[in-house]
Amino acid sequence: MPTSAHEKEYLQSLLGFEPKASELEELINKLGMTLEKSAANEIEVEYQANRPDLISTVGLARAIRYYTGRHRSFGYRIAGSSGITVRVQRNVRHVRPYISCMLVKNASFTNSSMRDLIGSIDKLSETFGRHRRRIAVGIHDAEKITGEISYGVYPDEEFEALGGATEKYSDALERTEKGKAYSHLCKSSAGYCALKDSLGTMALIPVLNSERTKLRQSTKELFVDVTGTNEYAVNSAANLLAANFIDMGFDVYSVEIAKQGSGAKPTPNMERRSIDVKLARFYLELGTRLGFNNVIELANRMGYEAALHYRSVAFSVPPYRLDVINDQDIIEDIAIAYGYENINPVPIGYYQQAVPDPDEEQHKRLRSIMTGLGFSELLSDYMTNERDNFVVMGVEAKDYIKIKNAKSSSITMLRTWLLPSIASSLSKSQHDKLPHRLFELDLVFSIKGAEPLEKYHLACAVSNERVDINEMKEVAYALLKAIYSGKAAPEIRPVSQGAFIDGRCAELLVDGRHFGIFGEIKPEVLESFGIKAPVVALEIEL
Amino acid sequence: IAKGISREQLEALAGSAEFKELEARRLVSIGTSKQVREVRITEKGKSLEIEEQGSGSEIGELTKEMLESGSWRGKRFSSYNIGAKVSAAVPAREHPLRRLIEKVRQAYIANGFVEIKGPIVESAFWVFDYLFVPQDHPAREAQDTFFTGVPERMPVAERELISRVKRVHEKSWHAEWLEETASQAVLRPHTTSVTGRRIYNIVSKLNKDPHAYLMPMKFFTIGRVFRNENLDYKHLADFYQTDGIIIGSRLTLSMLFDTLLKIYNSIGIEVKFKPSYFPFVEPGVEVDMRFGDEWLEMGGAGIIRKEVVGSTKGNIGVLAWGLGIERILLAKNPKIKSVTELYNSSIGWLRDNSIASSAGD
Repeated sequence: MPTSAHEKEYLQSLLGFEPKASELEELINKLGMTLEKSAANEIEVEYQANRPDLISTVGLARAIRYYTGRHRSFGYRIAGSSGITVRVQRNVRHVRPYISCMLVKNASFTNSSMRDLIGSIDKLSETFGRHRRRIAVGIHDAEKITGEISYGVYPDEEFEALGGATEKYSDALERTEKGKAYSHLCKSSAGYCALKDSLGTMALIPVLNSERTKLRQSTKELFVDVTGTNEYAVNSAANLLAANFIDMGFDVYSVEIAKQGSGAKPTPNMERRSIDVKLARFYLELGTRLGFNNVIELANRMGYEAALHYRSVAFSVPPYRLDVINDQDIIEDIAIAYGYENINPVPIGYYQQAVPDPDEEQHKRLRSIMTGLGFSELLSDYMTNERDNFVVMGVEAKDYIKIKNAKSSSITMLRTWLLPSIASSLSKSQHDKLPHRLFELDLVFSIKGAEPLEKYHLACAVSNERVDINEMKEVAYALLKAIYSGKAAPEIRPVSQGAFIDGRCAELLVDGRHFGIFGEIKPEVLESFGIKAPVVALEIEL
Repeated sequence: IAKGISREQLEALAGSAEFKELEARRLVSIGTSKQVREVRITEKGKSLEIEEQGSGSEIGELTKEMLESGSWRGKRFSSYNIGAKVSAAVPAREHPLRRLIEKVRQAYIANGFVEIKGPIVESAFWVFDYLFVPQDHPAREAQDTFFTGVPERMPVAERELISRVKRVHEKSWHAEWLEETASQAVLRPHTTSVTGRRIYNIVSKLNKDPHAYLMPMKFFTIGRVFRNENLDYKHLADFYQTDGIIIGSRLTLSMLFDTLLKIYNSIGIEVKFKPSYFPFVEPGVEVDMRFGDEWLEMGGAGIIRKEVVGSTKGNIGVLAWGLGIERILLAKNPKIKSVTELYNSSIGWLRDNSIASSAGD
């Protein structure tokens, strides 16, 4: 889960009380988060990935204040219209079509609140914004903006990026780290996505703000833009930010977004959905009886305004709750407020006949036989690479499942057989007293046409000063007896296989079907693994 | 083995970032080598010893021939040095992780669960889309999930189910849902794809015939899953997970808690529950297990969202959980310091860990 850092002093100032460290940790846990780290001045909190409202310290404090009954107001209202209109050019629709804006007045920042704001909007753009593609946020000093604001795609022209010299869009994107990371979201064949006023470029969207409209601690009025490729996400993020500003004590004014060919709409919309949940649902889902008053009180503690509505409770979903889809999410919130630790376990009260998987039962028997024969069980990775699975074993690479994106270069495929893993384990065992007797029973993989195949194999090997190929035959016969209840008559045919010494390798067949292979491993193969004692081995298909 | 290198050079090398990366990938390890000299009595020496001891009235080694001929009668047996130093006999045993898996398996069976299995190579549809994971969710990115190049695509599902999932995703996530993305072939990152398929099969049949099954029905699976992680002492790229589901009507969170407590307490694991988020359950639960004085996350649980189950006759619900297994072994056996030790082990490690008690015993 993602984490967010919070300055302790700032959090306490927002909470309005000073919880002890253990109390704060308990509150965080009860709300479904985890206190990952606690330093002298800062805590790091792991929050749920679907709760972008908990990224900022403002959001965390809000959640705790509601939960402890200290926050009793549920209104998140827009103070009025700013009178500002952003004109959206048609040419932006194939690049980054959606925008929502707001004007924030009576702002007053401290170092901490400024850091929290900047840090949280960066994180929001990365996580909820899916690396700024879905949404990204820009904040500007509104007092530095003049005239009409427009949003569109423009040719390569000069502007003064934040902290940099005056340069062309293309140069700014190439010069800066953010430019290199996000230029693909801004650049198109028609030009560059930008927000402009009458004095020039305010921001190269969604990459770089301008030095001119830079936010300062003394800034009293903010102009906020949220842009992106998903309309719902853009509007939701704008609502979340507006709610945060309101909780910081600032006033939020709407901005009209005017698209060519359609009317102007005010943003943010601060939409509040109402969701009804029948009272009986809480008992049916949680197994705990809750009365109406109880539910309403618990709802308030989770930030919902709630009221009776016939035999249901009507919940007004706050605008910053981007995770609430329907009644299931509300029921979870009520359970959180109630406390999972207060939900008493209740037995299901019905017994069903268990049915173990017959293949697993057979595997259990075969493992028992192998340990009874003195073989220790190995567990090894399913993932490997062509060199370890084919090349060092002297066999041809074919019909295997390829992995295309592993972080480690030693992982490129799923294993096709077990003996390479056994050989690898034997190679690690060179300082252990002989004999070495190992087996593994597990899945191997191959491909037939476009169809991946998964099969269970059992493989074993003996490494000793002297080895006897007949021991592998004896083991094979024991396994055959176990698998076919003594009814199968095996056929043995000499065969050549790259891992085994020629003339010391045989195929096992049952009713004409390939069952397995056994033999003495080639010294070249042993040398590749650094195995210093001879090895006989067997591998069968189950 | 590196030869001709001083201890100081070796220690400097072992501290480097490059060495640590190779060690995490199990391509190198540091150990102590020792020279072992083995001394054995040859066959000729043994026969001399026996002759020597067998002379007169004392018998050294009692043999089959002596028993058959009766030549042992009237002779005394020389005493053996019973105080001679020996090592403990080392039995061949199943792997300690396998023993633990079997213990977990038996705990499910004792609670009336049916065991099921499912494919390792799966379509993204069953691993993500059916489970209501949005198509732009970070877990679906290449850095978290293994995608296969061969095969590159897998068959998805019946047309009706595809249409339903598309509708649900677009309504809930407000973004276009693409069948092409759902058909990508991946190595399953969780065993919930197995239980997910079972939920779909059961619910489909119940929607045609509400009396098709006696409820509730309980299923479990244990198998390997794959995460494209950076490897370290507590993170493997492939590891075991277990998923369980209970399908029925009037199933509650309190019943989910009871079921998990019963299963895990029966194998000596203390668990507790706290709120958490997984896309396919609501309410969502994090299941933690006690590890000394601390609590370690084992996995997640919850009530499967109706977006996954779909509309049902008789108001069918599903309780579900998905929990890791290797960490239980680490918690129970302090000798094992890293999950990476459990796989591709040497005979020495297997012998060391075959008779010491652990969660599997």
